[in-house]
Amino acid sequence: MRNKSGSLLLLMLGVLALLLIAVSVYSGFSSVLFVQQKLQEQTENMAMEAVQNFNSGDRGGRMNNVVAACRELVFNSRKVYSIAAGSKQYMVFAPLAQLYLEESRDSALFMGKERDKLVTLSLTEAHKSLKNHVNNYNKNEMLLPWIKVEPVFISDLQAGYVSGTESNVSAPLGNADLLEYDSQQKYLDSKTNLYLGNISARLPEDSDLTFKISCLAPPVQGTASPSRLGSPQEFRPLVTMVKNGEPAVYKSDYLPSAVQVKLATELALKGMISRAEAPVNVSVTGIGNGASPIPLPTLKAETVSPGRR
Amino acid sequence: MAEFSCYLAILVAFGLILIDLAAIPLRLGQLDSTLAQRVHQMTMEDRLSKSRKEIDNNFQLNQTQTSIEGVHIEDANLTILAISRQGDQTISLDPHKPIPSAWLPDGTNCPCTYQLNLKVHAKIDPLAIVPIAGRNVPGLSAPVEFAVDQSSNWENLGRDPYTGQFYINE
Repeated sequence: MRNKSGSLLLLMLGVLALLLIAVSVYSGFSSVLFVQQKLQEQTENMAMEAVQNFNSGDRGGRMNNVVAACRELVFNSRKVYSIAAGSKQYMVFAPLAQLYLEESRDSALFMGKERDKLVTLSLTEAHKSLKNHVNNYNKNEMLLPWIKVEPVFISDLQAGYVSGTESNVSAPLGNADLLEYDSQQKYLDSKTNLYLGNISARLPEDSDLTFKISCLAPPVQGTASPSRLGSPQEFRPLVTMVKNGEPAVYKSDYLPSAVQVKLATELALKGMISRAEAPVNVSVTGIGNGASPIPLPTLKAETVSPGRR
Repeated sequence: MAEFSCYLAILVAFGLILIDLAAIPLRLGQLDSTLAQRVHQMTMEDRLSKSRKEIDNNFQLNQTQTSIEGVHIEDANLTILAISRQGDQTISLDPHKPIPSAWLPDGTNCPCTYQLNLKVHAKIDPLAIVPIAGRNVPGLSAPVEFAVDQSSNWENLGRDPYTGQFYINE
């Protein structure tokens, strides 16, 4: 005798329900992976664009060189003044030497202020560039089955440098006294003949002046280091601009050359009474381009026409 | 009732086989995404030797078992693919040997892009291996063999100030 209560129908419905659950779970996992991948791509693009601001047009590299040049000028002016003021033979030149010294000190102070402005400008531009990108990205809502993607936000943002990188400033090889002093103070790397990065290279008799030389990949054999993505292990922070989604008050003593961005979003199941949320975070390290080689001055030979004397 | 139990048995058996087999594409997908992530991380190292070491140590030591359950890596092969910017010339290079000077970033064939390519041969188990009368049926009583290939562009094209060498050649 057949059982007419319809158990086979119930069984089929059960199987169908199981299949639907399996498809939903698979779709959920795929969506999370898709969002993660998309966010990774976007974060990489954003980090690369933000990091361009640090040494755009080699402004960081040139600033380092100008700061070092100002420093050498102050050192030389002080030396000349000391010689003139300390010897009867050259005493007559002492006022002139003092004038030069004061001028070089003034220019060093001026350059210090300009350098600070450049640091602030670079950081602000990088932060602004990221915020604009995030806003543009949030304008296009991502549509996924059963899943709502919450707007992306900058969770953490730090600017810094790459460990083991020196500065792009060459040692003053033609200035024996300064070279000796800098070597004693361990401002220089004897192997590469470059100043170390992120140092305040003070001078002995002008210690009130700070000559801050920032970390920046130097050009090697005419090759400038291009901007790239980096590993988080080689990143060293200088300043925190956003922490846990909250913007921080930031100020840096040195010009950064790398950025670490952490973008975050949340995935929520659509139509659920109790909100089931899954956070998605992506962290990327972007490293800016290094300094360009210093162009050598080209001297145009004076053209003399044959009939001209 | 006897008629119904027969259908039920077939359905359950079929369902079990499907669940058993379903683990393979899931594990393959997991392996694929893990390798993609690993290769991308390797391309972000500052010099090539670090990426090379990771493959030499990590993959050779864990040749039989990766961190992914049911995936056995048989062989991992890392190559560098240099593609000239115009795309007209391509060369596959061994990362254990120095890159020929013509293919370095300042070489005659350049500017070019460098791709780190990781090819892995792996055996993937189904959820449970069911012995079938001493016969090896891939996907049921034996793992299925796959070749997974992932690549990503090398990032650091700068030079080391200590050696003067390109980081991709160190």
